Amino acid sequence: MDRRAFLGVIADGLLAAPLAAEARGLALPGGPNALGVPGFTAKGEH
Amino acid sequence: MEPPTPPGQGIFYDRMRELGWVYGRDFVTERRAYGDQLERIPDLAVELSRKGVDVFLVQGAPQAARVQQVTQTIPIVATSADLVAAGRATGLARPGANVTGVQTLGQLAGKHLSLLREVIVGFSRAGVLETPDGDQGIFAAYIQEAEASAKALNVLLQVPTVHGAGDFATAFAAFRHDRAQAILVHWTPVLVSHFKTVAALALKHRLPTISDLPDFASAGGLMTYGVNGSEVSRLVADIIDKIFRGAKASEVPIRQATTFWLAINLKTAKALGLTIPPSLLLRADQVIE
Repeated sequence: MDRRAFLGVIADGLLAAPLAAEARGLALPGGPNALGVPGFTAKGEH
Repeated sequence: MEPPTPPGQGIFYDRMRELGWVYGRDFVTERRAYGDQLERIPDLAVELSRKGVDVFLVQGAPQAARVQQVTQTIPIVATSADLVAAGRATGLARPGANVTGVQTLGQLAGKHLSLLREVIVGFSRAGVLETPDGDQGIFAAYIQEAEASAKALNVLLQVPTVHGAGDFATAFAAFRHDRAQAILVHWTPVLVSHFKTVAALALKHRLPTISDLPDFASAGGLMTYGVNGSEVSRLVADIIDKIFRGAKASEVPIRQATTFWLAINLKTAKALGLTIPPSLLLRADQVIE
């Protein structure tokens, strides 16, 4: 059984973009609704 | 545009590793995107909950509300301007329900106007680009603050109504007609899908712009000023660590992001005939040349 913790991310998914890495945090950078978890594509796929 | 960062890399994952969570070994992530269609969120949440998700991570309070339509027990970590004001939490110290997260509340509109005043001589007329925000109220909060700040700075604000992306050109024509000297562009889900169009329209109409959307300056806007994503990412990781270790979302305090990010696009400044004061350039975290 897979006992790894499972994080599900739901985001707009369009924000992977050319900010400096330290500003981007993850692939989704800061802002009112910001979060960052890398790996987003426009379709939200891995 | 850079390719997306692979899962497991980036500040969030670095912080998770510091906290003892190695991606792939100790936890996994699955992502779903809704673009600007917030109504898709409940279905995406159902899909992830069927797969056994332990924690949801979402952008925005209304997005969290849509996940709450699906579950009131699985913890939801949200980044939002103000989770309490949005009704997702009853208090910062004890959120009360299954939503906690990072608040990114900042005096953005006032700062946006102040920054524009530093680069535009005789700044007295500004436009605010309204974009639908999916009933989030974030635009209303922004405009409320913009109006108060504009009054204090003696700047006249104009806010043409934009119902959708098709209205952007009309809005910019109105800004031009009413002699706006600069445009404030607030981050909403619709803007995320259209910020390049907005930046291009602003350049076409020779209007300086500022936005809290992180990539706006890179896309040709004059300036970005908003919350620092790296801080948000670390705070999000801190919260997820606590929940992974068994804490209840209702009892994990909401954190407040406190640092901001300023980017200035010098190419855009040059195209608009603007000189950025050295004092402002020195304060920029990123200068795009």
